[in-house]
Amino acid sequence: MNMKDNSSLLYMVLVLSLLTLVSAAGLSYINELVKEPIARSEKLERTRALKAVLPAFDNDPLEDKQEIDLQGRTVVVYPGRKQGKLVGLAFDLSTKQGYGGEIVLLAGFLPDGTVNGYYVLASSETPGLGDRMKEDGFKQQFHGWDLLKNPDFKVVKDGGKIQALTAATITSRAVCDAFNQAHAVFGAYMKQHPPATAENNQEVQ
Amino acid sequence: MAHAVKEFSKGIVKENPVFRLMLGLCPALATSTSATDAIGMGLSMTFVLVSSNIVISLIRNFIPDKIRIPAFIVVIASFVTIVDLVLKGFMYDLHKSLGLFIPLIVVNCIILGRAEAFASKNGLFLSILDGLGMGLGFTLALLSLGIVRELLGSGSLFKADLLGPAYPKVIIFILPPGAFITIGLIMGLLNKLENKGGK
Repeated sequence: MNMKDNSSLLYMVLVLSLLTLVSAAGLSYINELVKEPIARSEKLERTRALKAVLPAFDNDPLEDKQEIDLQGRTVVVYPGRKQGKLVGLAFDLSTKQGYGGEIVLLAGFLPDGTVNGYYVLASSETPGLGDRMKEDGFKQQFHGWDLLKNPDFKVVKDGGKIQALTAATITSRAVCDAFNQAHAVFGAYMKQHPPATAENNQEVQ
Repeated sequence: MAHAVKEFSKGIVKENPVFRLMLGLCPALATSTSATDAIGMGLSMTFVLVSSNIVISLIRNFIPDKIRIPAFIVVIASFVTIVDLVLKGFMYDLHKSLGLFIPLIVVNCIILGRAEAFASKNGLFLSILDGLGMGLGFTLALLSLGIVRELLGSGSLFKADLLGPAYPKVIIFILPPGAFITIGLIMGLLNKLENKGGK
């Protein structure tokens, strides 16, 4: 049976509808199958990131996440606690100023506002150039930075203190740009969830 | 049988999609910055090629000629989405580094080309061989590009540091120009080898 030359409207509509129906059904089945593995690998990645940017903690920051309101925008903050005491907090910082588009970082801070490091969650920077923002040499410059005293992150070329990556000034600027939002988030968190009351709540529980 | 072998092997050497037909150059150049990414991309591509060839060969007599291209695209897009989901679930890091290039397989001309030129005209068995051969040819091409570029550009292979920190990394090989230089040199080498064999 060869229907190749059958080009009546009804038949064509029928064939394409059937094809898309089968495809949609198959895809929704597979989507269900991999939903859990995908959620698991995303959680694994985030846990890895949290371990990298927070000091040693014994709670589950993913479970304890807190939402704060920043000028109408909701920001999720992951607090790290040890024996109920806040030891650090981490939140996403993103920028669209990267050389390859958006960069999303998870940045970690100590409760006194010291930067404790960052982890690149998503980026498409050039391997070997901008991608070296994932390497310690560049990251180290942010480590120990006093956010409350110096909320402005700038590369040396723009009059700041961050040494840009060789041949990747745009990426370096983008990381600074992401970090420049940190002060506002950090301040809003401290205002909306003062560590003292957070500890009291823990004791009540 | 000789016919079947020929359909399989043509994609690897004689009609290699990257080095001979010059198809699919965009993903080939973009994802061959490291050998690992090259293999990941190559195998994803092979899976989509073989699966879409199978389905298209099976339904080829029911698809009206006038709507064959949208029908093929639906089939191809479905398999690409499957690859995308599965990679995200089970190989998160690879999915992260291949990024947008997995969904872009949908519009890759190699796959639509094989569907149009081969699977829609041939039976199941030959279509599988054709898809397998073309996919492996693509993978090998990407792998050879990836090995050269990763070794020269980052001094490593499969993300393992081979040449040590003293090696002066030739960054240009990681960048797009290096992809063009490498592909040109490999193509020249293949042409030279072929001419020698022919005489």
